[in-house]
Amino acid sequence: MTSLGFIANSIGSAWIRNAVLMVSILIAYMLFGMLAAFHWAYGSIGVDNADRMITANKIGFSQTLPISHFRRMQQIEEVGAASVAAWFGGYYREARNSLHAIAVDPDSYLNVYGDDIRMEDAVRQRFLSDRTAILVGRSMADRFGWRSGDQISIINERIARSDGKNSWSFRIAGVFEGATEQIDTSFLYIHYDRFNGARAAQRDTIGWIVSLPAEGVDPIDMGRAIDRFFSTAAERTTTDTERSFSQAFVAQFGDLALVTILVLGSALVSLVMIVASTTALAIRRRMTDIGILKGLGFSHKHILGLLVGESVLIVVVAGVIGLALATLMISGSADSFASIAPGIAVTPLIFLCGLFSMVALGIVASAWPAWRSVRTDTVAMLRRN
Amino acid sequence: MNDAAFIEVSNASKSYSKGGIVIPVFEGLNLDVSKGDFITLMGPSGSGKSTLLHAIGGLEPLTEGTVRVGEEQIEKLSQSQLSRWRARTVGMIFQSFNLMPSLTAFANIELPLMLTSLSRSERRRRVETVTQLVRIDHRLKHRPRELSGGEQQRVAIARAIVADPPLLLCDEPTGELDRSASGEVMNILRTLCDELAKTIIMVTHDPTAAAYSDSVYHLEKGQLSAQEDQAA
Repeated sequence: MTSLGFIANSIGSAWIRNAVLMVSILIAYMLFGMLAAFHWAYGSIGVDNADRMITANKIGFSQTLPISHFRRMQQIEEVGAASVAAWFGGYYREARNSLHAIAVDPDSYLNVYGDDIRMEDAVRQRFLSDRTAILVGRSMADRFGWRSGDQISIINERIARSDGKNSWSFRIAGVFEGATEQIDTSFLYIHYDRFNGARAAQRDTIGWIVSLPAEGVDPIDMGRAIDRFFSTAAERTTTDTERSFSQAFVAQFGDLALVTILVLGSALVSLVMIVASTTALAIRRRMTDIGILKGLGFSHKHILGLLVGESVLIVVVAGVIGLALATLMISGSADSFASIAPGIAVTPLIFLCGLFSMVALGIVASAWPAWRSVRTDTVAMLRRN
Repeated sequence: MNDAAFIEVSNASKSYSKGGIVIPVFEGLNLDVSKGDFITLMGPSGSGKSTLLHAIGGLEPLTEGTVRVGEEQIEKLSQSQLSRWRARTVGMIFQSFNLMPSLTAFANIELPLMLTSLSRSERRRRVETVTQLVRIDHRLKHRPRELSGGEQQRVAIARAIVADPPLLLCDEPTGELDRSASGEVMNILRTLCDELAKTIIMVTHDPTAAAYSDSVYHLEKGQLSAQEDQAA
């Protein structure tokens, strides 16, 4: 018999208790895998260009800025390129098909986002040349089965049109792809000019300005220069990195990072308690067995290895199954999360972190009761029988 | 120091402290056992027979005195050295068998071989050899609860000798067995001494079992005395 065989036998000898324990560990690590995947995808939004900065109204990005800010920003020497965007939203056919639609200044926007989104030149030209054209991300196009050249109507009850209608008709210029998996493609872009010209209220306002620094300028310095420039304006600005902006945008749905950390933390603390108490109980019930091993000449280290190894094996086997299930579930529902967590997946890094935490959990939960047991007087242990 | 003795217990004292009161078990004991001897320790309950046996096996430290087994002065060994020494030198047999209930007879017997570098086939061969010797080779796939008391004790004996230690320490090996099973176990121990030259120290209350040994020592009121003419 090998040490591993001995450990497997010990696990099998109390299989009901260990099965229940393993199910609880499995569920906890399934939760860990799903939340960590979400956390990772959420934290990776728009990371391709670290130089890109977002300027929004200082009161909050739900407040608008005048479009004159965009024009005036060209005067700031630290700014290399800039573009504007405004939230359009709306839905397709039914209210449940809500859309992430953004009104942009096409030419400057595609210039600033040239690194992140890819499309054929013909698509680009069709979008730039037609005010009724829209550019659709791959994920959104696949979701609704849209193709280049399709004519679609978007209902928007939030933005009043000057003609009283709530339906907006568009022709799809084409589909764009993200440069990486983490680039969200569940968006569509419409022309700001058309949007601005048709709406009844809040004309000449924008949601935010996106900018790139001039050559040799640190983006943070550019952001400070922008906010300083507008510090005396009626609508003061706040400029931050695009990642912070994106995360703040996603956080509208709740402080997901905090929720993720709290749930994961609670799950892991509960797990340590469950595994530790179960292991302590299991070791106490096997004091005679431990005494026999000591009597046979097994060293303290060897016995510690067997007891801790048993705990680690239970946690690792259950945890790996839990992470595998999380991988299956995440890959099966990745499309549903595309808009807030593009490219969501249980990555190798998550798997590695999970594996490390499993080993640590197994050791932490069993080390103390195992150490106490090997320190117990051998004769007293043998007399328990 | 007696150079001829395989085991030499010198000036051994053992006492326990309970509630601040020191309770002596024995004091100033001396015992020499030659290699290949089979001796029995007898005496009333609480006289310290098992304590002395455990001290010789390195399971329980003496309060004072020394124990030498072969070349090793065991009170000088560290915890890990003591474990290695015990695995190499001592086979222990207990009244309550002390088999692991979740393991088969084969796996129980194989346990001490986990501490060796023997190959799997060599381990199997060793287990088969000792199980034939103690006549338990037909019950190797059974777990302890499926065996009779006599069979369990034979498994325990096989486990004690599988790593071929020179010394066997037996604590009431027939204490839970009927007359027939006791006789079988004692015959096996006698054979191990005669044919494999094992040195055996046995603790028992049973004069019939004691009669299988070469010499009997009585431990009473902290004093150890030899009973003459045992072999006769």
